Amino acid sequence: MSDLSFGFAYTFILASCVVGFIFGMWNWWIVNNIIIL
Amino acid sequence: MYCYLFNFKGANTFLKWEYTYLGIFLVIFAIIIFLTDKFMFYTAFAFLLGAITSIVSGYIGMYVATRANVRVTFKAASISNEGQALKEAFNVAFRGGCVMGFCLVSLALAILTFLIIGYISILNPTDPEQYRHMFEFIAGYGLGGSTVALFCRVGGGIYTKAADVGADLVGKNELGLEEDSPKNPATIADNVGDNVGDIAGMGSDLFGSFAESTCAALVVSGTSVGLTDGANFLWPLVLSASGILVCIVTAFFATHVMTVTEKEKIENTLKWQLIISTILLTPTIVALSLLGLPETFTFVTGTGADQIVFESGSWGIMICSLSGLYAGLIIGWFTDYFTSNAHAPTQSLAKACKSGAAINIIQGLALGYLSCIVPILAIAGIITH
Repeated sequence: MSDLSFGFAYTFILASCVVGFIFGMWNWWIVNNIIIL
Repeated sequence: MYCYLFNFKGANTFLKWEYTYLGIFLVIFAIIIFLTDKFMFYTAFAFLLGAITSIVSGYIGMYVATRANVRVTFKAASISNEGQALKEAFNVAFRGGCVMGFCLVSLALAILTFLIIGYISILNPTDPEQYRHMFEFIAGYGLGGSTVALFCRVGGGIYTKAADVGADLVGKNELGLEEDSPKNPATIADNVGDNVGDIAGMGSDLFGSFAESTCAALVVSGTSVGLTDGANFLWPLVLSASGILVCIVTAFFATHVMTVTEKEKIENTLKWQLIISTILLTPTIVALSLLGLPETFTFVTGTGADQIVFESGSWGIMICSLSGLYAGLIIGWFTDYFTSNAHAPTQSLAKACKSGAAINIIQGLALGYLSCIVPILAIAGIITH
């Protein structure tokens, strides 16, 4: 049983946000690159 | 293709005017918050930041949806093999939803984290009382988000319903056209309404719910010595961050594992999204609670005779979080049961429609009331527990 440290908490939160944002933009890239004839 | 351009232009114009009037209200409201107390600058700043993030979330949703809509239609219409067309169209629609969902939550969580970092460095809180005040300032972020959500949901909702009913009255009843017929110009207004109310409004609403619940958890943690000691108060944010990672894995199941090849599978695949994310989040919550929180801590509210002291611990927080998680699953499951045409309630309502409008309205109303029982029992049971 241990407590959260600021270093771990901030790094984990912001890294997850970056990963989530990149995943969202990756999906956007796939959707947006569909060429409509 | 032309419909897409009209839809985008219509939704863009609606949001531009909605956000213009909303902006005036937000500035006035922020000034009122600022003038109520000398420290309220912090709340007013958080309020405006929350409101701007909510507006951006809604606009991203509308922007992505209007572009994804036409691509879903294109995929569905251009592929001759029905199974393949369904798979491609579903994946494009699902990925379109992922864009708003992931970008919105990531953006909102990152901004809230930077807000906390900024306020900690400026205010430098040392005891629970100072932390509580700081979290009350940060709660302005949730207020800003939910204020915008209220306007967008209600404003967009009224517009979409008016446009839908108007289009149906003229197209279906008077001219005998089909629902959403391209021959009916009012269909454009109906589709614009869907984009601004059900997507932009939903985006803001989603952000508002997330920001409010996280800020509420922060305010509650400000009443505990154990949680304001170190970074323990960041636990709700860490949980939300782990939710992003879990949902990336869950989304992979929909696009790569449980692929949709026939109509009946669409609902099932989406339902499994709820189940898989719940299953994956369960061990995550257990691990985060047991490893990231103190074994015991005390919440203290009020002073003197009104003081309430409440003992809790990592197990208590874990059980609360798991209860909320599974209540969400139960509510989602029952909502689907009462609204999906694959189940008895909607089928019986459809049968009742043959008897006339009065029976339809009465049974629809009764079904609506009936569908509330389980969600209310689930929420009440958890709060009582």
